[in-house]
Amino acid sequence: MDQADIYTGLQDIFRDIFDDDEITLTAATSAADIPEWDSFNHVNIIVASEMRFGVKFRAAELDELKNVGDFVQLVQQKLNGG
Amino acid sequence: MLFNSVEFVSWFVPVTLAGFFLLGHWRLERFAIAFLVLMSLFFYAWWRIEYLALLVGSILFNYYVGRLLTEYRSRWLLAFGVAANLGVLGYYKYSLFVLGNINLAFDTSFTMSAVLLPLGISFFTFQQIAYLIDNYGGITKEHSFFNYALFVSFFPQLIAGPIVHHKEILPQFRDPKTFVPNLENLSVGLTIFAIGLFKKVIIADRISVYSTRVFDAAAAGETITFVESWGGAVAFTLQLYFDFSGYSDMAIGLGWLFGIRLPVNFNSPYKAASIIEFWQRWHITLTRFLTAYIYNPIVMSLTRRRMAAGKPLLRRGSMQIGPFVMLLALPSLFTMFVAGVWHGAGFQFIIFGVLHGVYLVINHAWRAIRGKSRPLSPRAALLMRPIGVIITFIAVVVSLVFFRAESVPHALAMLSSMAGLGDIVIPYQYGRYLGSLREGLPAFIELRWLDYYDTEQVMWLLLLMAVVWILPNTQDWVAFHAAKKKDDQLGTQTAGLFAQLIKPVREWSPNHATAILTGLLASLSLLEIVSEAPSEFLYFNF
Repeated sequence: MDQADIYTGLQDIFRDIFDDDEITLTAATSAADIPEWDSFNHVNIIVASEMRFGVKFRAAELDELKNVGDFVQLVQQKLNGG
Repeated sequence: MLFNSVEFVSWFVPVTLAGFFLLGHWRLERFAIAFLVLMSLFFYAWWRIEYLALLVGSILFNYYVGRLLTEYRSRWLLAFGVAANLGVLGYYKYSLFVLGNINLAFDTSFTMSAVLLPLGISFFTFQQIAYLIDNYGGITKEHSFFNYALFVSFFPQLIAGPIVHHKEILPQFRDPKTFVPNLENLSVGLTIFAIGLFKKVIIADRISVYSTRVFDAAAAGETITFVESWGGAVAFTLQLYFDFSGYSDMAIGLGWLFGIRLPVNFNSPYKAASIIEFWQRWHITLTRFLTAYIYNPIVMSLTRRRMAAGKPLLRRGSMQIGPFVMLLALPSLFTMFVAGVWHGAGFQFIIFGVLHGVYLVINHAWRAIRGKSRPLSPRAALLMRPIGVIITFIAVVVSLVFFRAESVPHALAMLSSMAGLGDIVIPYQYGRYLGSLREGLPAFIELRWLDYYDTEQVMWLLLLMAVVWILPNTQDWVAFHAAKKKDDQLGTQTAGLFAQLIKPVREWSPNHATAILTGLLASLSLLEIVSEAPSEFLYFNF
């Protein structure tokens, strides 16, 4: 799975969770851009990504994600067995 | 050794600083770190040398378990490491309490001699548990022994926090800049330390009289009036803030002297307009630890299960009972229960924690129910904020009665007076000016001299309420200077009304005016500590 696939998958998750088909993710998208993106939805996004990409996140990694770019990178790192 | 003791200020800090920078100057960075570890252990042993072995043992144990965990990532090893830490903490902190309650429940009479709580054990245990968990998770990057030993034992934060995270501290021990003395760091550090010392020895220690006399009287079974009980409870609320935030300021200031940035622990908590906001401003590093290592893992694992089962999840601005209870209320209550237990062995601490859990759940429920309704206009929000601040403050005052009282019955005695269930009394201090009006008072109103209340106390409490509500806090004050230095650690978002009005004072910078002010704070505090025996910090009991 390459970066583009991860972006597409993540975008589906965001559109589903925030119930908004207009959302387009870029590397710089952060919680500041989506007002509904609070700590509850953050957990929902993380867990939905776990199911979709077949990876597992640690609670301590939650706070380290500053934007979508970081998130995609972490998913890719996990998929590559890092 | 206490921060507010003569030996600490007069020779411990100067000698440690000089030794550290001298070794740094000779490019012996590793020795400088080792020297700082040694001095920190000396600082700890000054109190009671017997417990030095415990601290050193704890560091060695966790360091080696941590290394093994990085290599083997074994769940069992992690469980063993965490259990060993909790076991030691439990032995020193809770064994008497547990034994006492077993005796009470089963009518047995096991005895054990009282164990003295090793200073700082709750703090260094938490920091090291986090380290083990992150080693297991594979997110720890630094494995040098002396750096690790310093991360745990660094004397500014060893005994009562801030609870630091390895990832924010360890990289600083590698930074060559840390080992070069820097005038900026020294002046900012001394300023923050002076403010903290002033908060502790001039403010907290002075007003502690007002809380102690009331809580002691309530514990002795005396009837406390409404006015006295509130006077005592509010005095303690202020005392705890000035004591603990003063300690944290001193720790952060000492960190600056060595070029080490410790995380901010208080951000004007009594300016909070809700309980959720309160915990983002009060003992911030504890909130952060509990969120990362207890609350988040629970919520994540529960969310995984619910999502896999296709059950509804928590959504912002919608109130569904199922997910609200399972994914928010129960995890919050449990986390705050742990926070309560962490503070001490006693039912009053458990009640303190659970009460805050209930506050948080009410706060979240209110947000969820209000949810999608139209947000307040900026003007209405400005008007509502003081109401939120006052309600939050009262809720905190009530919870701290449990925190301060020796036992639950004593706390309840205080609270019943605060609820107005005692006699209705006009303080004779004022009543005597009523003159002949006194004759006309109805029978149920009594005129009595109040032993645990005086006008000076009221003046102090009003003054300090104004300080915590209006003045900028320590970080705010030095933030301007630090922000110029692009330092993100000290930048904060809040500034009081005062800060906007009086810009020159707000914008701390190393100039004559701030030098005189800092010198004044420092001299008053130093005069106090050379004339009075140092008093312990409240958080040394945890």
